[in-house]
Amino acid sequence: MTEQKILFRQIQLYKFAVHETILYLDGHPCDKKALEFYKKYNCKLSEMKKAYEDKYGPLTSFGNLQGTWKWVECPWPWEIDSL
Amino acid sequence: MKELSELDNVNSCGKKNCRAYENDSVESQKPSCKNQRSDKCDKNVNDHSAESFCDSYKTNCKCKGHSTVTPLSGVPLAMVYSPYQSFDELYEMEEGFKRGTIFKLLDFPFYMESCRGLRNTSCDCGCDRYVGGKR
Repeated sequence: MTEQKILFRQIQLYKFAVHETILYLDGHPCDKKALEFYKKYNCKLSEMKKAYEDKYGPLTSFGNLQGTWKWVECPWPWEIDSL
Repeated sequence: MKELSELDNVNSCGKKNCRAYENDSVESQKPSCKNQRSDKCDKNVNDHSAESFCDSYKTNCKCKGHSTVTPLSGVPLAMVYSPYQSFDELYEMEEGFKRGTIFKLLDFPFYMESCRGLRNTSCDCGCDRYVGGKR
């Protein structure tokens, strides 16, 4: 697996876990364990996203614009597996 | 009225987080605890319908396989109750992503014959209830 794919995969895993926690917190807004988990892993997720985007371009079309419209140069969804 | 959090996963074995099935129809599990009734209770000891139980019986009966009293006895009718989830027993990242949930206790894969989604084959609270098939 390429470094890009490894990082991309990590982002997928962490984003899923954070989103699950968000849904949990919607129903348990004061749960301390969940809040700590969210804080820790959302922070890590942001770092990983930034590291990925700095090196490989935007993850979403709302990503940073650096010169040209790099969004069309990034792997399309069906190209992810062959990264 | 009990707080909802006190009602979660409490079965007749009295233990929290016991995930054993309640088998309401097994004759051999009918309670025979007439000795545990309150002295003031004038209910028919052989009548096992919920209405016949005095409150003392309901709260103090230590019979296994109590067929008519459930953790929801005494709560208002026509309301929907859901056991309170806690932020525990999380899968590792990779496993959670594959299972479709990070919560082990919410991992209920469906099969065609019946719901065999419960993870344990025997209750891990120490009671001797058979819980369900393997995942």
